[in-house]
Amino acid sequence: MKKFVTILLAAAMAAIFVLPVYAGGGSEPEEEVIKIGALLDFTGPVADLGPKFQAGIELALEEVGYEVAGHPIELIVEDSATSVEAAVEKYKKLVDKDKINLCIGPLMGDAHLALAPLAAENKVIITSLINGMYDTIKYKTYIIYPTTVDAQTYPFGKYTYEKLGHKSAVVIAADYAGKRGYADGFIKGFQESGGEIVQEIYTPLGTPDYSPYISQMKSADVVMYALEGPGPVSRFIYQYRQAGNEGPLVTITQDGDYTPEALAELKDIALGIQGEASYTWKLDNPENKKFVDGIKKKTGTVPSSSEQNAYTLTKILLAALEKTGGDDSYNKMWGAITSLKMNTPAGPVSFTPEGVAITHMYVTQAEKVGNNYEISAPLFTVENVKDWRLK
Amino acid sequence: MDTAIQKKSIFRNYRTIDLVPVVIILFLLLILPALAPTHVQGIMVKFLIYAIFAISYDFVFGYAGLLSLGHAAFFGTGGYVAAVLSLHWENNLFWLGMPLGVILAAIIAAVFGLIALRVSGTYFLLLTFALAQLLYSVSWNVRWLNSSGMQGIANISLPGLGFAFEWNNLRFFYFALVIFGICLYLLKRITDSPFGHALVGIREGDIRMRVLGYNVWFFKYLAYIISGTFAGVAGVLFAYFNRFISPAQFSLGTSFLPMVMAIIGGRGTLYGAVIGAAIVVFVEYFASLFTPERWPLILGAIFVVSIMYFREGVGVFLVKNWKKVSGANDSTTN
Amino acid sequence: MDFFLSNLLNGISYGMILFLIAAGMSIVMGVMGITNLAHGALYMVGAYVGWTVAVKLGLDFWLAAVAGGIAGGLIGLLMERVFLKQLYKQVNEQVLLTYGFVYILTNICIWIWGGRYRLQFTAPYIFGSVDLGDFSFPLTRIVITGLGFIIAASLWYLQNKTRIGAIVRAGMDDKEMIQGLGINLNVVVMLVFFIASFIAGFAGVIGAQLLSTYPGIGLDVLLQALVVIIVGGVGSIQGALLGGLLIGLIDTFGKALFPGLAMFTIYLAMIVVLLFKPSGLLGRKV
Repeated sequence: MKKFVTILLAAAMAAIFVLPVYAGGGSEPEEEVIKIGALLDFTGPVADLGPKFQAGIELALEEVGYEVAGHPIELIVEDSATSVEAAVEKYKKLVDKDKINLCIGPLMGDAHLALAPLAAENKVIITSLINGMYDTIKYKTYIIYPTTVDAQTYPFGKYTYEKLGHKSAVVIAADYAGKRGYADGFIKGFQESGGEIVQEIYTPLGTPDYSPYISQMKSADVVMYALEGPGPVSRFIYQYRQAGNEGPLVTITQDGDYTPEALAELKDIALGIQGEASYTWKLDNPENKKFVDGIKKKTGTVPSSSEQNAYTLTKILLAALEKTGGDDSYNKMWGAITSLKMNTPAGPVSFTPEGVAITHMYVTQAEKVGNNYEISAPLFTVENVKDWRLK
Repeated sequence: MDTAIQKKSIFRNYRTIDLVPVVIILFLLLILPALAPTHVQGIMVKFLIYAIFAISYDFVFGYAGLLSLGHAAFFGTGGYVAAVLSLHWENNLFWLGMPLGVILAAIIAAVFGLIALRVSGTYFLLLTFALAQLLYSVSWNVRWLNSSGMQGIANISLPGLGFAFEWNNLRFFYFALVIFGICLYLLKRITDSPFGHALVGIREGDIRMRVLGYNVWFFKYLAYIISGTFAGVAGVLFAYFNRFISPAQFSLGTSFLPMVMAIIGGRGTLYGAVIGAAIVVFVEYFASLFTPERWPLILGAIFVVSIMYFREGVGVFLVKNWKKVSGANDSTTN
Repeated sequence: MDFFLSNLLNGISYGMILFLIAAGMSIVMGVMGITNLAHGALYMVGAYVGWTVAVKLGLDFWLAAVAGGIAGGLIGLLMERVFLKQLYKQVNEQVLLTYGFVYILTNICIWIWGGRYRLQFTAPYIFGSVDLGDFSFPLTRIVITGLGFIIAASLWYLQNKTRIGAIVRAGMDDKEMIQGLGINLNVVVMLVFFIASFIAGFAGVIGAQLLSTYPGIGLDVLLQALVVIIVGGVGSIQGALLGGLLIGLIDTFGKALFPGLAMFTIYLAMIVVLLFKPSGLLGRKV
């Protein structure tokens, strides 16, 4: 028996060394097929967003029958596990093995910063998923949509002061690049309008219990929160209200955090909080009608901005590929993308030469429609938001 | 115990059949990587880095018998030194980064060893864990240890050798192979030395050794430092290859990897740890091709099976029984 | 004053959850000599099962808590009977084996329930808060604190005042003697392990009133339990209680006073204790 097991094991060992060379071997760069890679998170704190992004990408590809400019398209999705290390590893796999030139995602700002220099060297174009880091612009390899983190929230900071009438604010944000950037934009907008930021609190990633932070909050007209994702956001709102705090809350990326699932869980607690959003499924334009129907058929729920962003980014890549006649090389694609103007479910989009999108920003909140809790139509719109550093 | 005499007698006893595994291993290590696609070469580099980490751990655990739960502290330190050199001094000179990384890892091991070795058993386990966690939170919180706007340090340049040289995965593999070979050779010399044998004696019963007049504490301390030093080597390579490092390299997950590898492969024999590293890295690669979401389940199952049924380790099991298999039947080839 | 009071109450209630998590693990470790790193995973399984019962099926919260406890207890028992029994006193193997189970159980939870974070849940009549002067204190925290004290008292009684407790404590010191007295040690061991695992699963549901439920919680909770055990001492209920409360307070006040150094303060405290009293503040030597 031992002999048998030994030989079996030895063979298995040999196999795991040798097989990768042949079975896992890299694919030859086929001239015909255009490969698009996607780095999405299916595990980790924002795991629920991965499938949403994927649904958006797939819908866009299905609409063109997985074909553009006469070339078939292959989508290769990898799990970046909400970890920068995993994102870097999977990125290398996509570039070395699958030979992609275009990549959608990853989500995390940290991962963007880690990948940008690599992508610049490989001449691979990466798109953001919900925002971009200004520091990556110099690499000229990032397509940032809807815009940079701080530019996205800057108009909302102004809105909170001017339109909502709050003169002082406490800011609580998750302590990592992306959310700090959001907080910075809000703070800048709020202060430039004349508001006072009374306190800034930064919470570690994955904080289970927000009560110590809640109890140390100084009093102010409003509290602005910017936390990692739907899970932490729900947790925070719940604990904040549970501690008896009734004051107003505002937030950013509400469109991403107020997923149908999160709203169903929060119920009444979610009402009355206004937030910056780059999209809401109740926007009224022809592209959105088509898009919402498509997502409803595909996943059974209405889309949040996750599906929309992925969908629109895919459509942007497809439009650029049409322009270049199917040539997905960096030199052709960069110019094609940055010269695009399109209508999307979230409104019109155009680009700066640095690859940063110019889009509209909206304000939304949760509302109760019958027995359902849904995100509202825009309460307010800021048009053509552009990062002020790129003027 | 004259090594020279020993060597001669080994060669005299070699049969042709015993050369087969050696040839196969040489083929796997030297020729196969050149045939592999770029991406797989990257996986092989990863294997080498973790193999160094694993043998460093096997030295302190398999030989000295100290179950440490915080070895990531030294791995991470080595990596961060290389990373910081790149970040703040724009220096990627390998001949500077590696020695500095190794020295700092050794210093950290010396300091931590003083603290941790005051206790033993479960407490030692917990204390080593706490010390590594301390470094984790330092690397997380101290701005100077992070690239602007993110956790960790990105954009570490590939190692500079002092002369013009273009890196690719294959070249990095051979480079790492040389370093791995040096580490393995050095550790083997140490384990075969009287010091190494004393460590085994301490592992088996330190009271006995104390009675015999050995300074048990000092031997353990030395072993801990040596182990940490080699872990630092792996960390430096990690930073140069991945071009990125983060607090996660100080985490419990990272500390567990070499332990897992040493135990699955077979502790107390350096080659066991190497085999363990190969198993973990390559099975993970396979899992990522077919069922990436189930990889942790597979790894967990492999642990459990090795503990319950391959107590001495899969690698050791293979080697021991290979001798039986090839001894009993001369015409057996792989 | 408000600041102090609210953080004090928050710290105590958080500390109670830590106590519940650590108690079972500490007892099993100190008294039975088994290092079970999967204890946190039992908490996680309990939380998920409790979620299914309370939220998905909409049943009574306390039923869910008991269901979570039973789930934890059964899985713990399975681990002990099939695997751990054969690794008596081999700390190294236990550590690896139980850590392997963390991976396995975490991945199974992802498989069944998906990676999404679940919101906190509790019984409808516990939702809400009590007004204490200028600030309000959530009822759930009061319930958790009360429950924690009750369980601590019961366990302490069990450990020190009952025959079973005496048997367990004696059995680990001298196995042969106990067996010589005609007591079936096996049954006692199973019972203790089941109770410890039950508490872990139960704690999972109780804690889910405060913390989200997510797959990574098995590991996160393990880290916290380790800290509590180190500080409070292995093998005693008093130690787990003291450790839990201390860490809960340090963590809460630490975050309130120096938010950036939250993690750091805990581990520093841990190291200080380990250096000056390695067996923990109230521990018995392992």
